[in-house]
Amino acid sequence: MLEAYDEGRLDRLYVVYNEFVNTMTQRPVVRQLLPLSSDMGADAKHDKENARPGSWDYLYEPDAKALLDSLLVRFIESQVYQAVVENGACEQAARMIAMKSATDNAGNLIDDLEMVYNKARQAAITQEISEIVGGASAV
Amino acid sequence: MAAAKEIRTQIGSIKNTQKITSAMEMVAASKMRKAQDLMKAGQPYAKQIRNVVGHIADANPEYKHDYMVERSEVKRVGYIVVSTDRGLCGGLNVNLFKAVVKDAVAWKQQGAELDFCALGSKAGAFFRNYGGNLIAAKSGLGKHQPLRV
Repeated sequence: MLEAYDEGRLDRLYVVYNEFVNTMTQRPVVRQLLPLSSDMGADAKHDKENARPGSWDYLYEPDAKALLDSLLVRFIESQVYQAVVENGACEQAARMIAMKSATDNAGNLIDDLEMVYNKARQAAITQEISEIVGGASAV
Repeated sequence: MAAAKEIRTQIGSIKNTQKITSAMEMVAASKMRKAQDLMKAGQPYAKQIRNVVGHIADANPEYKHDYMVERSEVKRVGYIVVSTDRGLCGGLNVNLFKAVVKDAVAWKQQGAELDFCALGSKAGAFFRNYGGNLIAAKSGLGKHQPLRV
């Protein structure tokens, strides 16, 4: 996909995965990977404002251009990896919830059926008794 | 008593199903803990690299990498769709695909063509049916994914 973007065949790249909010909720998100959205700069700025006084800017070796070239590819890869891992966590959580509700439903179903079964049994017994009583009184 | 016998077999089969689902629930619960650990382990790195990239990009406004330039005309849109390999996990995949399709339709109306890259067998199956241009599909991502997929 990255190659396709480099060659200009793709103009935009999104990654779509389930975001893990907590065990009960997962939210599908569509995140723009390329071109890098401008809110990243805002993130960095935000960090800078929150930075402790006395912290300094790093000097990057070699120059920023070479660094960015390799770092951006690494960055995209890490974002995709994170998406895969997060989706994995979501999968298990969602499956757990689905199975839990399935188990609960099965329990309810069993309760209902047991009720029906007992009723049918009791009706049969009652009928038999009344038949016996009827037979006895006829004699 | 024929009905009673039928009901009894039905109860038996449901009980068996319940056993299976509760076993799967427990398996999923333990796997979830592992997956969550893996996720949490990756998060600081992803966040940090995001910060560093943002920082460098911020500090060197004169250099614009190809990845950072907004292309004014969007002719082709790519999606990397991350899905699960197995089913039985509620509406997880369905909701995800709905979000993709909604987004994709919006792009299509603007005249952009669509490319899909499917991670996970469910996404592969879905987009083969959906009729999008599926350029890559990979499934069976194990517990320990290599960084380079």
